[in-house]
Amino acid sequence: MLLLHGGTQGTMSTTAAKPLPTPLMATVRTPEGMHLHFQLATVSERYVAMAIDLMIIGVALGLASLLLGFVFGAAMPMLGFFFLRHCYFLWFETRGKGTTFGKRRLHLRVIRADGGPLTMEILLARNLTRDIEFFVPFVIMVAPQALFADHEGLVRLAATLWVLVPLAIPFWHPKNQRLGDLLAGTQVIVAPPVAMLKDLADIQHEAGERIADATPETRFTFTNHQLQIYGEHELKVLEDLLRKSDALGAKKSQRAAAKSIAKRIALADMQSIDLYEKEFLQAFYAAQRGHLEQQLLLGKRRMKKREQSKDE
Amino acid sequence: MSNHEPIPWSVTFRRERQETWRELEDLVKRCERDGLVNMSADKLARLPVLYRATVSALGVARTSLLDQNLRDYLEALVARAYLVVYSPKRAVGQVLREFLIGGFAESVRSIRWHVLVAFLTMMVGGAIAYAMVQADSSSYYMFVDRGLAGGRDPMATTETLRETLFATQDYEGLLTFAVMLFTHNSSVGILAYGLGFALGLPVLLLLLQTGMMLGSMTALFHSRGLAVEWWSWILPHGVTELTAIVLCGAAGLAIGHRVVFPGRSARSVAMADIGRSMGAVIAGSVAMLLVAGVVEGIFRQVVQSISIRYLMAATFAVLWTCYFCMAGRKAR
Repeated sequence: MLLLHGGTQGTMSTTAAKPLPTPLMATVRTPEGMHLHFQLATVSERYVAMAIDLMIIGVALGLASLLLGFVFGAAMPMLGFFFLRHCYFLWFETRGKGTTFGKRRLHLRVIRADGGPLTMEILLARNLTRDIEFFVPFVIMVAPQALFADHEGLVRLAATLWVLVPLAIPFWHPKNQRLGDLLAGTQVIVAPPVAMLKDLADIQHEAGERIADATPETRFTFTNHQLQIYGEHELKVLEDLLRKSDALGAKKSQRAAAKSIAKRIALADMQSIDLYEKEFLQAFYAAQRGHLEQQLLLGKRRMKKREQSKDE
Repeated sequence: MSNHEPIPWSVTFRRERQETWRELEDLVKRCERDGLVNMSADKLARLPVLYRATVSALGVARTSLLDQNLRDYLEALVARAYLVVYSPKRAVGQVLREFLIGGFAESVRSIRWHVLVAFLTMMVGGAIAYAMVQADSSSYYMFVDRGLAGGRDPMATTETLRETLFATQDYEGLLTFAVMLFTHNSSVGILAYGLGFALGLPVLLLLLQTGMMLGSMTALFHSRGLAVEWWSWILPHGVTELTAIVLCGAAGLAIGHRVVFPGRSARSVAMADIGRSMGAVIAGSVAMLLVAGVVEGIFRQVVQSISIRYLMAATFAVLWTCYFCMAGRKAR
C-alpha cells in the first residue's frame, strides 16, 4: 500500500473520481456498464411544470368548449375535461420521451427508476393516479361542497385527511416520488443542457505562444515543487473564477487570488503579476491541471491543498 | 526542478474528440425534436457509433480529467444520448393493437381471484341493499344518490317508473346523461387504481356502494312488478358496465394485495410491477365503459323491444366471456 501510494498523506487516494450518489440523485446503469447519475427534480419544480401543463389544458378546453359547445351542448366540456386531463400527460410523455411542455420548460424528464426504456404501459400507470393525487384534493380544498354535499363535520374531516395522504407522499418520500411514480417505477429528473465552454488550458497555450515573442514576462513557468501545493478542490475554484471573468467584481477577486497564489508558491517574479494577473492565473491553471492530471495517471490524487506546516 | 510540460495531455485528448461530441450533441438534439422515426438512415447509423465513443470518453473524463466544465458537459451529453439511444421504437398503433388483441385479457386473467372477490363484494352489497329496501322502502335513499336516480325513487308511481324504463327523451339530454355516466364511472374506476394503494380498503367500499345502488333499485322495481322490464333496461349496458367496474375494483384490490404482500421482491419493485399491469386493466375497463356508454346512450333509447334488449345483453355477455377466457392465449 505504501509503495502504491508513494508515501502520501491521507488526502490522497487512488479511487476513481465519480460524484457520490446522494439521496437526490438517481443512478442508472447503462448496458455499456456505465453508471449515469441524474439529479432528481424537486417537488416545487414538478408543481411548476404541472401548473404550466394545466394552463395549456385549461386554454385548450376553453377553446374547444367555445367552438364545439354549440353543437354538442353541455356534454362536450365534460367529456373534454375527462379526456384532456387523463390523456394530455400520457400522450405528450409518450411522444416527447418522458417530457411535456411544462417539463421541457424546466428541463424535467421522466425516466424509469431501473434505467430501462419507457413504454406506454409505464407512462399510463404513472398518469392514472393524477385524479387521486391532485384533482380530488384540489376540489376538496377549493370547493368541498362539490364532493361532500350530504356529509358534515367528522365525516368530512376524516375524508379530507384521508384524501390528503396521496398529495403528501412526494413531500416525505426520500426520492420525491409521487404515488404514480411508485406504481409505475419511474422518477422525474432534472437535466439542464450543459454547453461545452472553451478549454482554459488550451487558451493559455495559444495565447502564450503568441505573447511569448513579444513580452517574455507573461510567460510564466512553474516548478514541480510549486505545483505540489494545491489540489483538485483549488483547481475547481480557480476554474470557476476564470470562467466568471466577465462577472461584476471578478477583476478584484482575480487580483486577490493571483496575489495569494503567488505568495503561497513563492513566485520569484512578484512584479509581473501586478500587470498580468489574468495571464498568470491562466498559466497557473494550465500548469496545475497538467500536473494533477499527470499525477492521476500515476494513480496519485490530491483533493485539497497541503497544509502550510508540512510545506516547510 | 525541471519546467513543467506546458500543455496538459487533456487538452490534446479534447482536441482530438470534440468534433465527435459536437456531432452527437447535434444529432441528439434533432432526435429529441423530431423523433427517431424522422431521421435519415445514415444519420441513424452514426448515432450508436458516436454514442459509444462519447461513453468511453466520459469514462476517461471521470477518472483522469480535471476540466470540470468538460466533465459536466460529457455527463449531460451521455445522459441525453442514452435516453435517445435506448428509447422504445414501437409505434403507438402497434402498442394499442397488441393490447386489445391479448394484453388486456391476459392482465385480467392474471388477477382472476381478485376479480372474483370484487364481484362477490358487489353482490353482497346488492343483497344487503335489496333486503333492506324490501323491508323498509325509505332506506332506499341511503343507497341511491338523488342525482343519479333521475326520478326513480319509492315516491314515484308505478306508471312513472315504467316510463323511466322506456322513455325516449330528447337527443341532447340523452347524450349529456350518457356522457355524465361515462365520465362518472370512468373517474371512479380510475380512482380505484390509486385507492388500491391504501391497502385496497376504499375499493371494497366503492364496490359495496355500487352493489347497494343496484340492489336497492332492483328491490324498488321488483316490488312494483317491473322485474322483467327493469332487467331489460339495465342489462344491455350493465353487462359491460358492471364488468368494467368489477375489473377496476379487482385491479385496486390486486395493487393493495401486492403492497401488503410484496413477496420475494422489494416492495418498490413489486409495486411498479403490479402498477404497470393494472394500469392496462384500468385502460381496458375505461374502453369497456365507453362501449357501455354508447349502448346506453343510443341503443337502449332507440330499441324498445324487451326481447331484443335481452338478446343484446346476452350477446355482450358471451362476447366478453370469450374475450377474457381466450384472447391472447398461446396456441398449444
